[in-house]
Amino acid sequence: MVNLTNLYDAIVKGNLELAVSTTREALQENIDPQTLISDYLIKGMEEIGAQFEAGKAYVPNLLMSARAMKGALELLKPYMEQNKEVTSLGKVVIGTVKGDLHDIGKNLVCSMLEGCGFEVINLGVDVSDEKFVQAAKENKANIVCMSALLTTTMVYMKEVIKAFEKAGIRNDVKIMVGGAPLSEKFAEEIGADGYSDNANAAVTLARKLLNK
Amino acid sequence: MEQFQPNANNILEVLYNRRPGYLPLYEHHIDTEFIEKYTGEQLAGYQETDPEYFFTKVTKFWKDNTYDAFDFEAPICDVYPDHGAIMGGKLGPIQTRADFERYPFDEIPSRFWEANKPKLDAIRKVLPPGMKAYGGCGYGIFESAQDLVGYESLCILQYIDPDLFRDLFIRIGDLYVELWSRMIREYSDIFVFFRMGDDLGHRTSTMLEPSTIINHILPQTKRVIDLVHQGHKKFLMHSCGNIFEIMPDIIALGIDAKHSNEDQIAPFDEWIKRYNDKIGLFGGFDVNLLSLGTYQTVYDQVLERGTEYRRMCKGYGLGSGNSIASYVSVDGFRGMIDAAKQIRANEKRG
Ligand code: B12
Repeated sequence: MVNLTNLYDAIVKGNLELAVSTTREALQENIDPQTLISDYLIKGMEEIGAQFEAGKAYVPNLLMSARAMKGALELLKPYMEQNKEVTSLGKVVIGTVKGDLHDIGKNLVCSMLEGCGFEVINLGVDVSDEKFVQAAKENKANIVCMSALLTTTMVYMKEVIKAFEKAGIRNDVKIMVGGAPLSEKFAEEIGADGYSDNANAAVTLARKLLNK
Repeated sequence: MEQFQPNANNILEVLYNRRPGYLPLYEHHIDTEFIEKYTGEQLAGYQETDPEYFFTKVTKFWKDNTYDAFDFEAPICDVYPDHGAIMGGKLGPIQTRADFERYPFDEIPSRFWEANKPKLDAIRKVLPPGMKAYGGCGYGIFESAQDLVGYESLCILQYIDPDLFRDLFIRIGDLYVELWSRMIREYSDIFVFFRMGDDLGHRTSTMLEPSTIINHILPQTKRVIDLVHQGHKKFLMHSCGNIFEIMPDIIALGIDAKHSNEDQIAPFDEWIKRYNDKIGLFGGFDVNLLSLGTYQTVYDQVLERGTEYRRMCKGYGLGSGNSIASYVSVDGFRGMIDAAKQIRANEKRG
């Protein structure tokens, strides 16, 4: 019989091979894919995220875990498509704002959100206000995440929020912001719904904003 | 008011962790775009087409703003074939052992000197009396690895091919020793001290595991530091982000001073308390303040805090926590410079 604790461990330790082999075995034994995702994969990502937040794990550890998670999810995809009960926690549109090319932190937030059950649309770097609004509309996003690492581009976040107001969809989405020069106070001042200083807290915040 | 005469030996005192005769100003870099914005003169492109003109203008700008020395780094990464992965959005040219074996490392030195010798020679010709450059070969060991592999792939590489990861850093170290040796041999007269910039940290911790940095990156940095010291020069380390966990190891390499600080990570006082008994410190003022503050807010803060930092520190040079990027406001920059001048004037008056 498959040892499912291996799946959790594989994610926490970032072991792709173990994640894939354990998932394969579990599927052969007809274990419910949703159980694998919610009780082992996501729990593993939550654990490594918490270690990162506590300063006990580092970016490479998160990337290795995300890689293992992705490998397992690849195998689960066909089952998830058949089984509509496997649903996401919500849709997130994310990007680094116009004028800014820093993408490492933003990508990490993407991986954590995805790894913890959100559907993520990554718009990349240098994203304008129009592009954020358009993507949020097209994808019927629940959350919009903006990342900025520079003083100028962090100020631009306010423009993006204004663009959502102007488009009349400000109340349809929750807006989260983050990046090295930001603070909680700044996020409040520009009218964002939430701020966090690391990728793990970003997941907690997203859940809270959507009451999940 | 009497005209400012740069004196590179004044800023050099910081590297000995001694109190300079007057408060020196320091910047890791001032973007050409910022100098253009400030002076209204076009400079972009001239570094390549007419380096003497370019460095005459640039050193004049630094001198007019009362700096003892100015920054020049000859960028190593710019001459790597197929470079640019450090900017994100693409993979670097080395992903496998075969890529590594094939990569034309041997060609880099000639490409490097071809691109940079004209600039270094121009600097030698046009340096204003008393002024020198600081810097040397640009980009750090870790930054080179990021440019050759890509940050995220590099993070993964250390687990999926640890031998390649190790060999890559050693090869980069060999290259750095070759480039730095000649830089020190041929251009020590124009540099007041040498510096390496290698951003090892981010907001909450180090970019790689501390043990990885200690085992693979710092030994290569140490080779450069030793060369600099053998050449009877001092060494400044610039590294952004939250690197407190590895600071003891960085200090143990023998660095003489350290630059870069951000308020969201720790107030500058913290750097002083922790390290100023051992090394000189540069910086103090967050880029947010210089970009968003009015002339008056910047002036007031720099006057107050700068006076305090100068009082608390042995070796200290005042400046931004990072650099004067293109988007820093001219008013903010002026506020900082005027406050530094005021601190000097106050000390003179006693
Ligand atoms: C690596 C780096 C670069 C790399 C970027 C590579 C890449 N592909 O992204 C390069 C070399 C290209 C670069 C360039 C520049 N950089 Co830079 N860079 C950094 C550095 C050292 C680390 C950033 C990083 O990757 N962190 C790692 C990740 C994991 O952390 P993070 O981004 O903070 O993200 C975490 C959290 O903030 C949060 N988060 C991030 N986004 C979001 C979004 C949401 C919604 C939420 C909830 C949370 C969240 O979660 C993430 C994971 O935990 C920082 C220093 C620092 N303190 O961050 C400077 C820094 C950001 N850079 C700086 C500067 C000045 C520049 C340049 C202007 C330099 C120049 N003069 O050319 C250019 C600008 C280029 C541009 N147009 O964007 C300054 C900015 C200062 C300021 N206040 O404006 C910094 C702060 C350095 C300093 N000491 O001051 N840089």
